Amino acid sequence: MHSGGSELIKFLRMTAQEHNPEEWLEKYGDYLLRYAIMRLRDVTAAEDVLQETFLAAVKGLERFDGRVEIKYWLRGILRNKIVDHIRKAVREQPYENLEEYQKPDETKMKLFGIPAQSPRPWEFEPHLAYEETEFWGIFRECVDKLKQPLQQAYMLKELEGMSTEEVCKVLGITPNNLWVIIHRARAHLKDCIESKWNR
Amino acid sequence: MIACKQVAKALEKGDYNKLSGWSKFWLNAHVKLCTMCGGYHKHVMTMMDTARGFNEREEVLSSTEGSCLNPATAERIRSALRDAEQEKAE
Repeated sequence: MHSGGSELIKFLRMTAQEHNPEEWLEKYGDYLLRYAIMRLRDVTAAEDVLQETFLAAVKGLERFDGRVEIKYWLRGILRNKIVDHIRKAVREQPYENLEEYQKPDETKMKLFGIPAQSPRPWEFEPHLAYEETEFWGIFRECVDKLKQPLQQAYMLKELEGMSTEEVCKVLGITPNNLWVIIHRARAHLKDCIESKWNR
Repeated sequence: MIACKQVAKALEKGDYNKLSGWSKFWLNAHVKLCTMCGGYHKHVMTMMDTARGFNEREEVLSSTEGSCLNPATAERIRSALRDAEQEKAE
């Protein structure tokens, strides 16, 4: 039994180093690939970032401190690779029509920080559907259906939990643009989920 | 009580679950009582809950899906890993 925390970390690190990266691929490859496909919507790109992830892991294994499982350490690297991929793609082909995504210059927005038209209430109580696998299948399908830049912004901000500043830097947009993009993404998602959820 | 604009700012900034207990309490109270912005912010909070709910379940949900690494890609990655390890050893 390992007594101190540092000893445990040392033990975990050694265990990780003894692991064979090819074994990681065997064990976590499918999970990480699906994670990347969900975020990139492109199998070839997902396979490429997966390869980059494993190569970066081999190179940086000394930096693995054993605080998280190898699987989540690899997922952390993958997440950075996905963000790099999106940043590069946007740099090569910036979004057009960003003027379409400007915060409305209306009184209600200035006074209360909310758009003039509030969304209508949900047709069902989504929290009650969280335990249904089908609900999440629909959610995922609806995220997939979002157009760009809505999908990328929603994924980085809401699913990856990145800050407004970080998302704006990656996507080359302003905080003002991001507010409108996220607002529209949420509205589209709600409409899409409601249209597919028949309970 | 906090003002409508403060609620908007807090939600715009990020996840309301990261707010302190008191901020969360006042925010929830505001959303429940304010007819002006209640509907909009309830929608935002529900969508944030849904995104978080998905994150919590993604791993389990994805394990039942079909997308798997195809053998040719797996072999390509394996070969790249062998090269990288060899390079590292030298």
